[in-house]
Amino acid sequence: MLRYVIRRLLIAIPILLFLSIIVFMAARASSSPEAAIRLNPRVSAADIERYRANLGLDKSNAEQYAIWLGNFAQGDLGDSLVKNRPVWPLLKSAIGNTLVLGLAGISVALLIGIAIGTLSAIRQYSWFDNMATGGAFLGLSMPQFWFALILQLLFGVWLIDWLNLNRSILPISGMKSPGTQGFDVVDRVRHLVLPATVLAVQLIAVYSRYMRASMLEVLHSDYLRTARAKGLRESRVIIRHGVRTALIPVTTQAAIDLGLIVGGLIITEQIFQWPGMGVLFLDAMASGDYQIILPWLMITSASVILLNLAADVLYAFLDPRIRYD
Amino acid sequence: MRSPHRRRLVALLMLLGLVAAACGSDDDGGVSGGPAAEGGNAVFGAEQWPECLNAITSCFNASWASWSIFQHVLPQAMTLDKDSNYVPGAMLDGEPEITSEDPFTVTFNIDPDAVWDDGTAITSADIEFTWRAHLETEGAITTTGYDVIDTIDTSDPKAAVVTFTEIYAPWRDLFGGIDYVLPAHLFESANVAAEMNDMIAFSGGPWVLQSWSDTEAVLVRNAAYWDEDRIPVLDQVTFIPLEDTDTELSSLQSPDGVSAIFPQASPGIEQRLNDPIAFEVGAGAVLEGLWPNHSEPPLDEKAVREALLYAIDRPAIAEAVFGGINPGTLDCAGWAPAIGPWCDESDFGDVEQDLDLAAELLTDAGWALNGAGNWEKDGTELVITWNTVAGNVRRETVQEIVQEQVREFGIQFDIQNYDAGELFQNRLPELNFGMGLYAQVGTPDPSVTAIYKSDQIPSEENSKAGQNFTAYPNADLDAILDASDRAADLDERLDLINQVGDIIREDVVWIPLYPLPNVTAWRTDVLTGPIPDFVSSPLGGFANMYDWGLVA
Amino acid sequence: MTEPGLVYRPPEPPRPPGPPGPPGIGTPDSDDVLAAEGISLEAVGQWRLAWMKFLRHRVAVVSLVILVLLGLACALAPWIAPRDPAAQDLSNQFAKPGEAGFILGSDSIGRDLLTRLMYGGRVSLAVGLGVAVLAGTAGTLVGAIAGFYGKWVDATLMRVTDTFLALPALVVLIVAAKVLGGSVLDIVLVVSLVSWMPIARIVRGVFLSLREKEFVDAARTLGASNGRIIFRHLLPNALGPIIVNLTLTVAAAILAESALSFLGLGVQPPTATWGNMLARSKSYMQIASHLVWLPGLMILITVLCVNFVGDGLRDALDPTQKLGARKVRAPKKSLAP
Repeated sequence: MLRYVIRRLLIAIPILLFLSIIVFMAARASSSPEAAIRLNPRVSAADIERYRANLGLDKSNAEQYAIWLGNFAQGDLGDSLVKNRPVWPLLKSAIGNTLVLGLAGISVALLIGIAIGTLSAIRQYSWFDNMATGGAFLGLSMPQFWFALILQLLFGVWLIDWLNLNRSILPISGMKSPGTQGFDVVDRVRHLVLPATVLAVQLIAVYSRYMRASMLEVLHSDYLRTARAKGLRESRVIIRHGVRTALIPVTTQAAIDLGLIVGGLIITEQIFQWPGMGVLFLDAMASGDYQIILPWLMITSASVILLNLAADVLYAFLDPRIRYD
Repeated sequence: MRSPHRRRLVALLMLLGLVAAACGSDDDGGVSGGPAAEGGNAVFGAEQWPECLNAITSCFNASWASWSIFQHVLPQAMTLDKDSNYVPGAMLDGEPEITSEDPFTVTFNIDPDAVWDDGTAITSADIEFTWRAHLETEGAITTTGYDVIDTIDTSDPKAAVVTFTEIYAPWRDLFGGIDYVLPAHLFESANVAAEMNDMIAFSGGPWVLQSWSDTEAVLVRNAAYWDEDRIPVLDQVTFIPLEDTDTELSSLQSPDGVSAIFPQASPGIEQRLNDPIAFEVGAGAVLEGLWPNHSEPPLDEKAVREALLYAIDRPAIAEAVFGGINPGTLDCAGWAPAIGPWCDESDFGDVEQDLDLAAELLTDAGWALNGAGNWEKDGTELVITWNTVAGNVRRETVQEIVQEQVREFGIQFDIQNYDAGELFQNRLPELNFGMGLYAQVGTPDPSVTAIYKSDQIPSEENSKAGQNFTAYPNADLDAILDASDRAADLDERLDLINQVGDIIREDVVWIPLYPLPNVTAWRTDVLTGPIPDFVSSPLGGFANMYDWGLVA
Repeated sequence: MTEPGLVYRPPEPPRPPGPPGPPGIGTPDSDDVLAAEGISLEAVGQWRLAWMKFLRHRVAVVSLVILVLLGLACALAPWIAPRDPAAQDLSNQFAKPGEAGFILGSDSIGRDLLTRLMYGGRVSLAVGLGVAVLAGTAGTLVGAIAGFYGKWVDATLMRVTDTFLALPALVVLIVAAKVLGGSVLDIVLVVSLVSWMPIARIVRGVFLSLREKEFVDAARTLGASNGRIIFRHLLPNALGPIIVNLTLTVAAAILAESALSFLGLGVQPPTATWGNMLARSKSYMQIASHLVWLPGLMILITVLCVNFVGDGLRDALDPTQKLGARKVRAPKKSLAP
């Protein structure tokens, strides 16, 4: 097992490097920080040259990448090219905000999804099961950002019109109310509701289907039959033996999702103006600020790889039938 | 000297604003009236929150730092009034004098009462320090103008004698205009790159920056301010960042949100600015139009450019794109439209859509309609490659409108839109485009040598950093541009600028469409005063914040 | 993963046989099952059987009908659309559905929304199908070669696949779209870049499990070349899961295209797609909400129907499922971008 883990980790390093080179070239090819400066009429050609030299943009692409890589290897993330401030605090706060949103969505989705999935499996083909299946398909087929926009429309326009409200029931953008000082938990939670809902809806669809499928398999399996034969009560049978086994695929999936959300909420964050990794990436891509893009990429890819690995390990740990060499 | 056309335009705009406001609500939400209470706090919304507060380096570029903070805290030598004329700022005692033509020397006389908020007098040493700061700061965004100053004589603390190496006509934009003066006594060296990142701890303006963070900027009245005309009515103003227009509008509409915003003017916005909210539309300094690449066919032919000019319906475009916040069609050839005295509307003011004239221009140049109804010459159809920023809804809409307008006429467009970086970084400097649709930012001082002079065509000599993307090469124009940059006399300068405008119209160097509208919106039940006065100003709509008060 | 259109398939730790997997992996050969049922291959063809099973799946059939109708409506747009898609009516901007003769309303420059939806559908659906073809071909090739030759070929190709899987898909989309451009072909290429991996893994799995089987040995003994074995013997067995995956790919591709358009990077105007219609209307959300929810609804309906059809196909093509069964199975390949 340990060898397997180490092997996976070692392979990840060249993958990450390769990815960083590709993205660096793409970022340099498509944009550059001085684009914003160029259209300022007071800036002369000489000013632009100086600006470029100052940021090291006049060096060749290979050289710029090498410099960045050297610094990165020493743990120095440097300063953003556009924002003139250190990169790490920006990344740190962005990661924090995204994790808050992601964890909220995942936890809610796990609770609800597991419940729905279990109930669907127990009452297979019932009215509930069919509704749940339909709902799951709906959740999986809905364009994510469309749902987000509908929610914004609902709370920002329609409900206000229909119910003649003064202001919306739930805030439709941002992480906190403008102008609030300090940390107001209620306010933060209210801002969290809509974006987390958008995230949770799709995850509930996935988790409920996983749970249902694995519960079904478990309910009809041999060793559960043995437990029943031993005379245990049905509910005890289900809960004690069934659910625990059936939880394995769902929880490993949730672990994988946790790895994916770090870089995966770009559009949702953009719509709700949630100041997380997604918005940071979009801004940086727009201006070609590779000092932010590259560490961003490292972090998100690393979290995907690490959490995938963790999920595999977890799966093997929980399910005695799996063994890696 | 003001052109009567411009006055009419401003009046028309104000009328439009009033009409639009009236159409949006029963109440007359035009201009706030009523007495102002003394003191009080107000909260305003700001969009592009700055990354840092350094007025010299580039990190404040494309942010609201100027409008929300610098304007109110840093003194200016020359400033702009609400009609964008240069007037002496509070720190000056009367107009600066041009004390000598050769060498070109300007003397700034400083108001004897002018002081920084710590009591130190504002002196000529501060002007001299600001000059050196622009030149010596690492990462300074521009040295234009400051690099032609030879010396600054500070022997008289209340008179800065600035000597230039050559006649520099846009001198009013130095230490003022949209630039500021820094205090010499508070910095150890002229390289201020590391300073003023999170705070401006001093003030020479009507307000003092009490605090600045990611979530708010608090300005309080400067007790040491000497200029009685600009002492703030309000005690305190708080700016808060609002990420986008929707958020700003929601905040403005809510009773305990902000009370004034300067939102991005998106179409339809006027429908959400209803009583008790009032708003006003102004013509901003960002001018959008069609920029043909003169170095590539078919736009290298003047006949084609002129035919295009007459084939499109410019007022209809502005109307369709902006609707209720239409700032009007841009008719002057230049760069500071409808603000300041430079806009000469006779440049393009006479142009109306005239398809017959357009057809005549083309046939005279050897083009003919082919079987498919398209213009053709020597076997090649008239196809213009049109490039703009992908994802920009306004510009894409303009493309679609124009494409439809000229479809029957017979001009075809090959629309290729790119990412902003790709367009401005790679294509324009390489002159690898057909016709661009983008905007130039006008400055109050109209020196546009950078945009029109032939040595500014991107080339190997200027490392492709030149900004004359139209690649328009006209030696006569060059001469006039240079002369205008050297004409210290305002009347002479105006005359030269008008000549430039005439040439641009004559050769159809570009086709101006519209200035981007500015909108100031505020709650009339909270704020009173001359709130919309600076809506068209490059200083931003909050420039006269000191005259705003709470409704009593 | 939470972003639209990016079909997530869990990376495969070796799972025990059990949880419903796509047909063809670790399940008995279709021949054996059919034989056990007493149905001989001559009596009912494999595909005819699948079709009969599909017809049992009511929801899938209805969805297929809807899709066909939708496809026809879009394809026939030049003949049946009420107006010219480029015709502007500047005096009737933002008309609500039903106003001024616009059945579904008009947009910011007075173009008929219904017409644009029909024309936009042509492009959106074409992108979906194009990606399915391109990604399907590429994925099948990679998976077939990896699964057939095994050893280091397999290891290398799977590392490449894993590399692509490790990147957040939306990031790849954004970067690729910035580099490649905004024509329909470019976007098909871009979306295919993130869509081929799951198919490759599936095909590889099938090939790996089947290449040791007796019928392959038999074919080799008879002198069949590698290519013949791949195409004639192995590929048909993988066809079932490939088809099922392709339907999911179509759905994901449509969602991905709209996600790109939303960020300003998809197919560029003036070509209309549902995605870029939705994206451009965001700024008019408050004053003309029909411009937002109608294109989105079209995407939703299409993707939903494609998913149902895919579900029906999975049941139909699963040889372990008997004709009599009427189960609605869990989509193992779930949509979690």
